[in-house]
Amino acid sequence: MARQSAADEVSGLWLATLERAIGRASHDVKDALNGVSVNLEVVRSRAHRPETPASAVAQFADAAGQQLVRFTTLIDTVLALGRAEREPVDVGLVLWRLATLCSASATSADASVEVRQGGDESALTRLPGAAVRLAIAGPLLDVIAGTDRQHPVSTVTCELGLDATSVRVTIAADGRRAAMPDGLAGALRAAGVQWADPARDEHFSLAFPRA
Amino acid sequence: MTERAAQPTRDMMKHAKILIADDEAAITTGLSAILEDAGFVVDVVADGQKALDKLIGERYGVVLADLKMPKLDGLTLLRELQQREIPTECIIITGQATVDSAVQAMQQGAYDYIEKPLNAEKLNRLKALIPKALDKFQVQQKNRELASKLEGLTHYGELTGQSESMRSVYQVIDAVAPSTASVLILGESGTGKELVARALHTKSDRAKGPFFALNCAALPKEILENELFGHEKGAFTGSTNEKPGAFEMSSGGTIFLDEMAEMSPDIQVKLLRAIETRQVRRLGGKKEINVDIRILAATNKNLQKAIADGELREDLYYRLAVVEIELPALRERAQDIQLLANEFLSRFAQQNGKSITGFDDAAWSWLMSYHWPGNVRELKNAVERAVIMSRGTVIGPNDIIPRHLRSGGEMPAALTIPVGATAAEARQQLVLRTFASTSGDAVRTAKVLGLSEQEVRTEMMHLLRVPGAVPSKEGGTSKDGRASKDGNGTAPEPARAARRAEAATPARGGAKKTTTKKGR
Repeated sequence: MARQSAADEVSGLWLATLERAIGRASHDVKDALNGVSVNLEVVRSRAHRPETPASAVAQFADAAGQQLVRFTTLIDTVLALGRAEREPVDVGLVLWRLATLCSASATSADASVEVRQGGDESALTRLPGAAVRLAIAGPLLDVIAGTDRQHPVSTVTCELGLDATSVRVTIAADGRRAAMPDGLAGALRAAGVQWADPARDEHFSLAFPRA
Repeated sequence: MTERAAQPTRDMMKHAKILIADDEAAITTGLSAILEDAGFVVDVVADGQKALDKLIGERYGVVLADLKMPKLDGLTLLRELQQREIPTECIIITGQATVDSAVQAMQQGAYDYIEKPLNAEKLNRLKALIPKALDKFQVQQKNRELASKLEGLTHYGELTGQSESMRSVYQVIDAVAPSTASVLILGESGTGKELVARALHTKSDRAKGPFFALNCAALPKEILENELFGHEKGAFTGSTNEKPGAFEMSSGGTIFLDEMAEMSPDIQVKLLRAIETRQVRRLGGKKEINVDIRILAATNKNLQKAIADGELREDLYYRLAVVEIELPALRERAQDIQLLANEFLSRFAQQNGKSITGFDDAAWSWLMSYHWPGNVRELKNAVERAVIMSRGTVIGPNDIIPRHLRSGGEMPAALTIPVGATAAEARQQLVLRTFASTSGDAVRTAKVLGLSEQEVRTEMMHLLRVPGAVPSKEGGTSKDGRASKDGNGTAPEPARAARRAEAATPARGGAKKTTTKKGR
């Protein structure tokens, strides 16, 4: 009963975090759709002119195509994060999806999110999907959306690593230090996620027990 | 006919530039292609700060700005445009078309906003909006030009005045400023000689160089010499460091020597040498230092007398007075008093946080009839004092008239009547000035002039041109308690009448004047 209640709390917190991430990314989603629409409009209007050479529309057709890929990637990511994660959870896949979504929200802050993943070994964990998502999304979103205007972030790097017992995700941001938001810490510790508050000059690192 | 008339407007719109500010290259490329296909000239920048920099340097009729941009977002850009008064029409393109953001954008002066994504329908709306925004921009541009021309009629740099004599001064400044000629500015104390010097500097090619003003009367001889030419280390007791003088410091710019006739004869010699050779030597120095300066000088002295008395070297006078600009005394340009008084009033009311709407009739009468020996400076000080002392929303005679001038003590000693004025006009002037000098007391005016009270009232009624409108003893605040300036900011009738008389006065150096001593 208590375990069910803890899982519900993590799910609730995850949905609130997802809502926040989608809200921040909506500008990027609309920008991508806008890119498709505007470039298609150039193609459409020029295509009606008989004297228009193919080169005058090709550039815009390509741009529309690229924006369509960007749009569908974002939409796919949102849809995937809206569904329940298959267990055992692939931390690498969760990290990639969250980085894609948070990267969209980072563009308005003039920042970017990079993912580094070493080795081919699968990064599976036995923890539930909502806990893994929440543990990564919470600090990642916070470090991007932080209100510390004096220390703006330009690049956030998420590195995936494995050791004998755990899958590790390290979040490093230039100018700011990532940390677990206070409101999430209790529920995530109860769910089995581990991390240590980073000392000076150390990056924030999460540990998920391997499956 | 209509089509032909519309054509130039359309052409004008096509030539007006549009700036797109968005960090999405895929969007800006497409959007600029669409607008260029429609005939507009388009520039693109990737963030709000670059947009602001571009708008400061160039003129754009319309800015299409994304709401969310790096460095400076759309709303901050709008705010900056408003604060810096950069003329353009801003259309905000937003991916977050919430009521809040739209209302905020419109409140901050956006012309319109369009929600993303820009599909065919919204792009058509945008294409229809742009000519309207450009039209508004061009109408406002014309308004700004007209306002600037109007401002040019009454202001020149920091100088204020619309009288013929001041316009002549502006014309001379315009003609002389671009040259390198030395200019001697003549005029009574408080007429604005330093402002003329500053205008000459600002309008010259040396405007980016320093402007150095030095009052020759305010400093003892040794200090003045040191200020002008500087000194070397050890030049005199206590000179532990070298110091460049005004000539060196203003090299590449302009040096303004106020009260130049007060300089001692030996400094005049050194000054003459510096002007001729364009070289100066510091006190205690051995080497000549090249200086590139333009010299402007001013004095309120009678220079012919100063030369005759041996106080001013004639050769220095001719060196400095390549061009002479003579500033009229304020009493010689009475038509500027109203403009100046109103300007000082609004400036000092704002500075002192007071809501003062104007001067009442009696205050205007005094302002227009007083002879202002201290010129604009005295008027400025009088208005500042009145603003500080005033307890109401209108300045009355007790606020504006200094205590020592009240109760008819030291009112204008003379009244100038131009040759050609009729006896009736002269009588009207006499009544008006005396009426003003008694702070609007008809009984005392009658007594001073040896007229009956009824005669004074008749003259005043005639001046006011309002049958039956006899001013009260307290002066002429109108019924609503406001100063009786009309909606166009024109002066009350007595003041206007005074100005009509002034306007009829020939310009300085013109026809012979008759001066009548005022009877008491």
